[in-house]
This record gives sequence, structure tokens and C-alpha cells, in this order.
Amino acid sequence: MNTLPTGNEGSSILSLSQHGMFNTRTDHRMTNTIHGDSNSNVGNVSSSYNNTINVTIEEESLQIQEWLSPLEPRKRHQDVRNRRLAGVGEWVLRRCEFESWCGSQDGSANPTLLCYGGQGVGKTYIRYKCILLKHWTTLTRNKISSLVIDTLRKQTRGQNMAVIFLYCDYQAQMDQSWINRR
Amino acid sequence: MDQSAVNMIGGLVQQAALGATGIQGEIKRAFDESKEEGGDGLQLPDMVKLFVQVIGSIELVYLCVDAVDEVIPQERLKFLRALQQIVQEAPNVRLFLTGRPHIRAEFDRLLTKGAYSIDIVADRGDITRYLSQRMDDDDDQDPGLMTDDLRNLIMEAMLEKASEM
Repeated sequence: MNTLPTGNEGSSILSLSQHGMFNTRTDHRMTNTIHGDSNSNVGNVSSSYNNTINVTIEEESLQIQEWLSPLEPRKRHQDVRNRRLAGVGEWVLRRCEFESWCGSQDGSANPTLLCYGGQGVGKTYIRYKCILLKHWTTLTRNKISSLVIDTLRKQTRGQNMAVIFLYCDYQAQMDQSWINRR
Repeated sequence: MDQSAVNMIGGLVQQAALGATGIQGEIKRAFDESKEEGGDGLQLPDMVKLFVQVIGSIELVYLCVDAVDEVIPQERLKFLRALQQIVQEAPNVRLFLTGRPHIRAEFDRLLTKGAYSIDIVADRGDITRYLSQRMDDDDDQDPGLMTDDLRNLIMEAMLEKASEM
């Protein structure tokens, strides 16, 4: 079975070790460790050996992750879902567009679902409407994405399917640019 | 947090790399080749290619991108084109996007023509849940100040205004 974990980095490391991805570096460290523990009993050697493999694989796994991207979408997802209120946005999951998009597996349906919202605030809006709209936007936008992500994760668990995601954040990008310019 | 198109597609590869079986070899190979050539990151076309390769053995991949309109303007087109390429080359991908309506034309031109779409409206139930939470939070700060009458008044007024939006 070929399944992505749901944010459990521990199992990812295990999976990397099972597939022998990092043989070169682990071989080197394994030799050192066994020599260092040569006076200990066999159980300790074995345990230290396994820990060292895991630590080394984790190091290289982190290096590769950093090389691929500095973004941390899992962290952002955790943050958004922690702020999500129970029940918010669930109506989206019951819409027939969502069900058709989500359930189509034979390639006959359009592969894309777009959820759009958060109308721009026109000048005619008076202040309290702006405030309410702003709160509503805060309430729904990324919460719906996080809800969809969690729902799909639950649905796909144990199958050869994956849920991969990104949160785009203009403000975070601007803050970072400002820090870099200083 | 540099949200360039290549970093965003890299973020997708990163997630696909964590835990799927039989795919790590491709990423490791690309990483080793890059190290030999000075350790620079991949360029966007190579990152897209790598993503498509990496997910090749997965039956179905749900790819969810929140707030595409918030990608910085100079990277947005590149990013949308990268997503377009992924959808075209990987029939196992289902793409979920959220964004504001003002970039709908841009979406449609590149990606979402004929796509399913849902208008995220101000749902009454969602607003009620949100307002209740906010009033509970206020009540926690100054217990007893928020009477039930005041609570109902606020709720009614806000829902009425919301229905006019």
C-alpha cells in the first residue's frame, strides 16, 4: 500500500529508511557507532545502531526538504485548523459541485474545483458593513480550505491517494520582503 | 518565507516526498545532481517535472491551493501556468483552488474554464457560529457584562446586515 502520512514526520523517516534512500551516509555513521559501542552488550549496539540510522536519515531528509522549499505548509495548516470553529464551512462539502469533483475518479469530470469568495468592499459600504465583511472573510477563506484538506485526508486514509496543499499568504510574503530589505 | 512559484511547487514536492513509497529515488537523484553542480535549488520547469514524476505512482492526488490571488503578482502567472502543466500532465490530480473573484478571468484563461465552481457566500450558520464565539470570548474577559438580551440584539443586528451583503 502506497499512502502518504497525515503530518506524521516520524513515519516518513521510517519510510525513507525502509527504502534505502540514504545508503552512503548511513553506512559511514553505522561503522563509527558500532566501533564506539564495541564494549557494550549486543542489545545496546543494536539500539544505538538503529537510532544513529534514524538521526542521520532525518538530517539528510531535512536537508532535502529545505533544498526543495523553505515553505512550511503543514505548520500553516495546523495553525488554520486550530482556529477553525466546528461546523464552519461544512455546507461546501454538501454541495453537488464538491461531491462531483471529489468523487470522480475515471477522468471524465473536470479535474478542477474553484471556490471563490470575499467580494471586494466598494466605496458605498458603510463602516460596520466593512467590519462585518472583514470578519466574515477572516472566518471563511482559509478555514474552508483547511476543512476540505482535513475531509479529504480522512476520506483517503489507507488508500493509494494523497492530499497535498499550499496556503498562499500575501501578507507573510510582504513581511518577509521587508525584513530582507533591512 | 519566499513564496516564489518554484518554492511553492517545491512545497508540493516536499509533501509528496514525505512517506510515499518508491518515489524518493527521483528526489534524491535530483538533490545529488544539484549538489554536484554547486547545490543550487531546482528551476521551476524542473521542479514541476519532478512533482509530476513523484506523484506518478499515486492513484489519486488531491492538490489544494488556498488563496491563489495572494500569490505576489510577479509570480502568480508562473504559478498558475505550473499548475496548468501539472493538471495536463498528471491525470491523477484533482485540483482544489480558492481565490477572490477579481482574478477569475485569469483563472479561467489558464486553468478553470469549465471547472466546477462554488461561490463562497456569507452562510448564516457560519456567521452565527462566529459571532457566538466572539461574544463568548468577550464574556470571558468581562464576565457578566454581556446579558442574554444584549447578545440576542447583537446577533440579530449582525445577521440582518449580513443578509444585505
